[in-house]
Amino acid sequence: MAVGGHFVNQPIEILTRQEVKRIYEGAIEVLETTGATIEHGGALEILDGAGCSVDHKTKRVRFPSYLIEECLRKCPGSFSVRGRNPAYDIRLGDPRVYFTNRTAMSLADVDTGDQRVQTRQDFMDAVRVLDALDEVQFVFPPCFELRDVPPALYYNTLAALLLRSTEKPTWAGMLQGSEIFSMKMWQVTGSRPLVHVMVTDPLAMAEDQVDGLIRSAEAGFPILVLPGPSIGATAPATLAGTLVLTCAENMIGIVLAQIAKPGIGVMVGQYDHPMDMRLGTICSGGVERILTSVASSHFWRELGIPHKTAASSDSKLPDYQCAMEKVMSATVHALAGSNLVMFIGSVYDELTFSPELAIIDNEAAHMVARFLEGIKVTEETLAVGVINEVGPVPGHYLSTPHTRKWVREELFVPSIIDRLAPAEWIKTGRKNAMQKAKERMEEILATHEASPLPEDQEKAIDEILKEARAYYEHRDML
Amino acid sequence: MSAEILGNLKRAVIEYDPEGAASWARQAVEGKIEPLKAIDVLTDAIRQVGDDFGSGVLWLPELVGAADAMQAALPILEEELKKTGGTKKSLGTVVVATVYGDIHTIGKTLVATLLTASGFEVHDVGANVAAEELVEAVKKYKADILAMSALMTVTAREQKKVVDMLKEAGIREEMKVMVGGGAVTEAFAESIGADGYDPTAAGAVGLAKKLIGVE
Repeated sequence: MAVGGHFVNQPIEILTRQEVKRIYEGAIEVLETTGATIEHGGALEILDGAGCSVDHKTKRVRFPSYLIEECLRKCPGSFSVRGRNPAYDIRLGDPRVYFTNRTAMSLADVDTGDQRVQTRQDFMDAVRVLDALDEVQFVFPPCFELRDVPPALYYNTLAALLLRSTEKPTWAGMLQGSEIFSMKMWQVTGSRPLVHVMVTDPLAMAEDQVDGLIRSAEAGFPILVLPGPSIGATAPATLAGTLVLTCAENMIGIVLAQIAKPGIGVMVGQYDHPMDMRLGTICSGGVERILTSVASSHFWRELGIPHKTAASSDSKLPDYQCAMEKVMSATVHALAGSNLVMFIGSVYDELTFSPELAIIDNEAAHMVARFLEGIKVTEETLAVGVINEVGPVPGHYLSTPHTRKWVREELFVPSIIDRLAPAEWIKTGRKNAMQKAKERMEEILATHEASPLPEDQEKAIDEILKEARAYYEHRDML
Repeated sequence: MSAEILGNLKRAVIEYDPEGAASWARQAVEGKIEPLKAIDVLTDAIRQVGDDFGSGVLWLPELVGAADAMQAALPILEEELKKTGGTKKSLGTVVVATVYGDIHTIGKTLVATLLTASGFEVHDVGANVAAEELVEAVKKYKADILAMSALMTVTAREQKKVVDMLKEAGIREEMKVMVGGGAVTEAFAESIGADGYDPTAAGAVGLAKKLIGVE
């Protein structure tokens, strides 16, 4: 039984159906004419057998439209993901909207904006905070880099630490064969994470990504395909062109996944960034990204395939810019019906994460969720009888049974947002949202903990990590 | 005549026209224009575009367009220069690549473009380049700097291998190694034994100049 999630009855759309169709036709034409470079000998054989035109020398694959369409049809409209506790299962797909945290390279110092490489303890603390936040129903690793862990072991170490620190469904990345060992951990704990496959833009997939995609799909793990181009640099400068490219790239992942395991759940992602053409940096908070995200949700909803979007900021600090870019984007993504809106806790795009900010963002997610609930219009909520009863001034509604009955249901009550009268605010220490979030974090770390892994699973995971270490040591990768 | 050819060569670069640039370079060779003089014109043109980029008048697509035009003309003139035994001036020679295990190209392409526009001789050897090939390229071009790019730090092992191989080849002391990429940090640069790092393409130019002591 899937829990939680929000529902959007009338997702906002900015494209006409005709325009969505034109993007679709464009993507198909690109895959037929140009196709993609697939750096994987085995996959080239399989695609050849499935009807693609394959140049084995250049590793270029051109996809026939019938194959793409067949694979699109094989994707389930929704599927569930599982952490180690089935009570937290969620079902990804329309019309549900879930929120989730962002992932970054390192932790942000919320006061200075500096980056700090996390220790294992930092990582587990951050995950514990996410585990405690009710709007985070799917947990991405908050940061990738781990102090004193060799990079080749990052992904497996993250997989182990995630399993230890949260019972919610999680993400899993694949790099250089890491999934061989992560998969064993998921099997031991009975979890079914979302396995993330990176597309290299434009139109290419690296060997380890294809390897991992096929391996994970065959083992029955759902796939998240994620192209991430920079608009104007690794995607066309036009938003429509970027959509054609990213939709085509997502289709490549879908084709590979459906050939590997027909019917396997696939979620696609929209993760383009405009490039700031004066600086050469990517603008993760760019408004254009909101447009492509809304359009992408529309596109994949039409095809009945679960879709994800991400929102972030270019500010180095959790300041006004950070809130403006992130929450504005996340709100619109949710209104457009994105099935998984990734924004919680990120400070500077993919580079820094803050568990303190995650606590504040959780509250923003509550507000968006309240908005999605909308206005309930019934005989009783219209309150005509009560209005007639109370009449003009000096009548008021504070003491009516109607108010007592409805006020808690209608009003969202924040815990971080400040609503004190100024005098009270001064008396209680002039606290801002970040100070309150820091206090809340201390409280969470003192009181909240996911239930520990059973001893045998803990032992098995340790063994699997040892195996992974030996594997990479043998390959001279540590 | 020669002034007209050189004028057109320059215009081709500042108008982002690779075919035109190549064609005017060939005409310069045919017209017996001293190759160094023509190369100076190219350098001058790309600097002008680079300055306009620096002041925000032009943006990256223009800069990359101009660099492409320059790169279309340069080999033609360099070949002629080799025949006449001349050598061209540059701030220094840089080999640029994305390391093995990573097929992302845009970051190193931007760095290569900006370094070229700043007067460096740049050899972009591509993406997913094996350590052995990188060391070979450094030797072949007698590089002053090796600039390595990687999107993620998982390629750290590979980057360290390159640095170690440069040491084994006995050339590490004669040159500088700089690293860059979205995830690269000072600690990362230190851990692989690089001389410097910068997370942005624009910052890479200042770093390169600093490393070889021209700024």
